[in-house]
Amino acid sequence: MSRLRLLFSLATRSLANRRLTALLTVLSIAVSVALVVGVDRVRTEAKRSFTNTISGADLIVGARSGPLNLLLYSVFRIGDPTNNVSYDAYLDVAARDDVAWTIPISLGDSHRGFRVMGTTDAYFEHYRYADRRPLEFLAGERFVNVNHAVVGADVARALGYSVGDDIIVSHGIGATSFQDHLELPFQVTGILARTGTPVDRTVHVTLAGIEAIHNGWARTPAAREPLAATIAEQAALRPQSITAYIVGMESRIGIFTLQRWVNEYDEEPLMAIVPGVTLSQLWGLVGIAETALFAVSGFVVLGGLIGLLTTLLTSLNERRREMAVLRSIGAGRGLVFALLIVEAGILAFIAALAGSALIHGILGFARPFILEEFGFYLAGGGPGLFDATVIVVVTLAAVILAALPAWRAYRYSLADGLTVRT
Amino acid sequence: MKSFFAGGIAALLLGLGATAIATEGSYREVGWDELLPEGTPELVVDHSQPVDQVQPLFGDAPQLPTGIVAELNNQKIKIPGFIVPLDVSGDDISSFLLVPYFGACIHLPPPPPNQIVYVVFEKPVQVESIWEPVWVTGTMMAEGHRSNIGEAGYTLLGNDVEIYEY
Repeated sequence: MSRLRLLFSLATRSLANRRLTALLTVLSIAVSVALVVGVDRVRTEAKRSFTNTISGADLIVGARSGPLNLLLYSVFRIGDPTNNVSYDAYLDVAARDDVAWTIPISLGDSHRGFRVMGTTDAYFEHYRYADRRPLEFLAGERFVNVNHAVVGADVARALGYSVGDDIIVSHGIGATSFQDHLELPFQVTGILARTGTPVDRTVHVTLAGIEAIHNGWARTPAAREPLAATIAEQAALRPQSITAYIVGMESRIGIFTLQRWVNEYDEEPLMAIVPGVTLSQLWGLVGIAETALFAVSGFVVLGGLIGLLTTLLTSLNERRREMAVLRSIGAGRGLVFALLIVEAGILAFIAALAGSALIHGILGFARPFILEEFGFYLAGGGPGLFDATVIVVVTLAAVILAALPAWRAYRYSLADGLTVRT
Repeated sequence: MKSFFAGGIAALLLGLGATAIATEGSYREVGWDELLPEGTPELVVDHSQPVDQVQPLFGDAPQLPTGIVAELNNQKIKIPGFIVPLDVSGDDISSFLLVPYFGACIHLPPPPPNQIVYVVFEKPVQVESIWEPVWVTGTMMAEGHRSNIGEAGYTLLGNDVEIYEY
């Protein structure tokens, strides 16, 4: 025990004596460890945020294209819908006994770079994200009339909207359009609380609202009357088509039955996907990049460790006298060997610890910025099992690598004895 | 097509495994044929036959095997199958449908309701690869959710998931 303590005190003092090189070695390993832990952290968080976008939905139905495409445009608002589905076909599915609820989605318009989505009350009732959390209102309430709009948290913040403001919806999904639907200004009736999902960047209006801006109803004088656009009039604005819809089943056992029924629907080509399955497929694709990132960061750690090895080896020559002195005061050859091993271990351990602390500090610091810029909430979580694993692996690897310089030091101390021939 | 055959082979293997009833811990190993009530035509996924002849077994044809085996209620079982993820959060899965063969093949209709097990976990589990067949252990709830629409099915209160070893 005292022997071990002696080893540690010798190693730390020897390191303190060469503190500049030691510090640089620690730094290089720390940075590489920070990279590995950072990659893992971002990967886990990205995956969570991604899979948390939709929850509790059993099927998504849209025009026949590809499962990934349908999922991306209906849930993530990425890419463009290939085609709409007729409103009648939607009602056919919605009326089935095994369907508990449906959320229609109508896309294609934008408001200053944010997508506009037509939907119904069902959206606020049944849409769930992140482990079945319902949407909540930060301010205001649901839309009632044709010209009402409910905006996501990011939309409200970026454009400085509050309840009661008038907004204009543009045609197309670009950041701007030179064909505004000027006739029907929408009024913000509600602002949703932040969800960390694409909902935050969406302007929600009624299905009738989407219809109104397209079929010319908005140009009629009636539309200008503040109270004109009541629910009764929404009947006149019955949508012809919608982009997609989310389906909740009475029994999840029936998912496949309905999926098959939808896929074989005779009237028009429809496609139903199970979101969980398609998310997994999508993540399988992203996973390739993930593996590449991991491989790169792994090699950076290897580089850091080789740097440690180099430092230890080059320092051996100048430390021959140190070893000789140790030997003269009775240190065995084994102690010289152990000394170098312990030194490497201490360096790597401190470095890995520092690297882990460094990345968690950086991520904590960057969190508000990432949220602001990318709308992606990087949950903290703090150091976890992965950090512990990395620290142990890096320390062990350093100890194993240090066997080479340790063995050389052992040989030197044999050959040199007390007289160092330099 | 590859997954079509892989699914077929896996189904065959699972079928073989089903006949050998072994006990591991307190979970009884159950095969998919035990989920079918008495008098159901034998469930064979025979890919050598024309699809039309297989179809009546599953589709909307009259001999659709419905109903569940009530004796399985509250039993602790261990059953092999494929995962169709439903509620996923990051690497955690809190519910999925377990099916006897992989569903990627569009030639065949989906399994009938009594050949699907809805697995829910109180505490989400992590599954290494959701494309691999797995063993699932848990307590069976053999009560139909909605008997009025003929979708009686099995719900398993999941305990653990492990990768199936061939």
